[in-house]
Amino acid sequence: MPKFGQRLSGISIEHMVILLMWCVFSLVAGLFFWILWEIFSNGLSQVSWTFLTESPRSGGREGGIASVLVATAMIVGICMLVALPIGVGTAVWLVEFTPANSSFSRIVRMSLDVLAAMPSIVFGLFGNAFFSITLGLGFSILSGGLTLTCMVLPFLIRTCVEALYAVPSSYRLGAAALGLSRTSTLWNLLLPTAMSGIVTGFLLGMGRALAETAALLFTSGYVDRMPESIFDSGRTISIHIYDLSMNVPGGEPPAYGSAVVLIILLLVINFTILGITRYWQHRRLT
Amino acid sequence: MNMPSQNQQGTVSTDSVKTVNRNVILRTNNLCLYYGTKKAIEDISLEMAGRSITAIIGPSGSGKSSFLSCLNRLTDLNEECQVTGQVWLQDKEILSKSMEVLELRRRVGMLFQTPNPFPFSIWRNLELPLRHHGVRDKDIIANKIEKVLRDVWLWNEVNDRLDKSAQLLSGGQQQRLCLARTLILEPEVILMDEPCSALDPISSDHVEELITHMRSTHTVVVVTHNLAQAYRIADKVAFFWNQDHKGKGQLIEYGSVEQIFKHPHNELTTAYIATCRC
Repeated sequence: MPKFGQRLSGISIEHMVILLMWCVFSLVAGLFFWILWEIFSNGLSQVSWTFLTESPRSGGREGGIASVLVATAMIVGICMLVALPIGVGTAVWLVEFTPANSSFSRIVRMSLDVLAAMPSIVFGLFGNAFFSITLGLGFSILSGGLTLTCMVLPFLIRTCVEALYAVPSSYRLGAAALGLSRTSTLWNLLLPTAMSGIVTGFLLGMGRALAETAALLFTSGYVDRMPESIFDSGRTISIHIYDLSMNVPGGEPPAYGSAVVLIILLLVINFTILGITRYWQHRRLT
Repeated sequence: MNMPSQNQQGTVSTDSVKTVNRNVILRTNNLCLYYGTKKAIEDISLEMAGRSITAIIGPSGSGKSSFLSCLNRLTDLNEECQVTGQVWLQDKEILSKSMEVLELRRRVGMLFQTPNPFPFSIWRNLELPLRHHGVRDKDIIANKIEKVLRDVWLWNEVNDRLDKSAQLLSGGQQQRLCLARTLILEPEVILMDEPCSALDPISSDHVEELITHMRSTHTVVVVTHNLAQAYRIADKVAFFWNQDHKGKGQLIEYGSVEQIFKHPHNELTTAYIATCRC
């Protein structure tokens, strides 16, 4: 049997491995661009200023997606606003203030793993039972946002934990040897160093929240009128796409248009937050 | 090993240590350290004079670094660590509960084996500890930063890029920056854990020369595997040994550099010094 790197009929195994990796890469990149092409070629013509500024009419066949965008912003905003401090706080507590081998820490980590693997419809049922019924929030943007928080938290905590673990322990030792308190070390050294990982977790969480449908069907509902407060029902853009393509005959064109907006929204959020983080880090670190 | 002659050592000699009046600034009394139930060092009693360099030598696992971390209570970071005995910094017992640990670490600085600059700019690396210890005035901060960078001979190399990442510096420069970061808090004692072992020979020479310059201003306790270095820089030498390789580091012999290297009293010291001469 030829050893690794040995020539086999004129082509070395190394070349074959590289070729294989290129094939896999092309497949993934190709799939991504195919999806983008499919959505943009069908939906870009739908997107216009009116589409963005008018609320849907006739079940979404006519009009635009203004109310949907507002409801999406409110639901995702509530979700991330609640999830970020709890997520970062829990991660800091797990990494910096609890011994990794303590039984309590192990239980928390195991719970997070189980929660991360939980289907989103289960979160929807829980959100409905707890936020909508028990807490009396009904079908509302607040219920939806808080349900998404529960769904996003395991993700966010896991990413923040990894980001904090990736900070070399020599920094902690160096800071301690300089007489820096734990709070100061955390605030001035660990969090800025782990910031890119935390932002990645935040973006992943936000992406997941934006794309979610099942957890929101039973919590925020799918009323498509303009929400007036967080206690109103509202549909996110993902639910709008789902509803148009599944329940509304002739709803495909606006569904594609909404998908284009969703993708552009995701890209804009990604680049904006990365830009802000870089600026913030630069200001803080220098 | 090519041992440098005494004349090359300048001030280092038994007599100079004996004649110069140096008050004991750091003293340990029956110091023991446990990791869980395992004893890492046993009954170490040492007295270190102010404004002198004490080298701690011995094989790996003899408890040298563990001993060092007791002197600024870095052992507190490890929950499994238990320290018994006494450590006196001048008239303060540092293991007592009343000791303000953060203030202790300001007074007893530490330089590590591997340079560990924070992932910030050179300026921020030096500013952060100062600000934490209450220095807010920008002019004072700027003056202090320039002074310590000059003290470690780094100012001319970096004064035009203080806003650049410290991690872009070479290994030797990073270690000198870490020394500057320690010095900026004006500690009385500086602990060094093999400060040159991760550096190239030229950088190592620079750091070593800096350490010898610090003799007149600081009390330095340096752990080193490099016996020639210990001979070159130290006033006093403590030899640690791991008895029976059971993990219990013990102090075998402590004396002036001349006594330890030329006339060791203990057979183990003789053997250790002799082995390294080969």
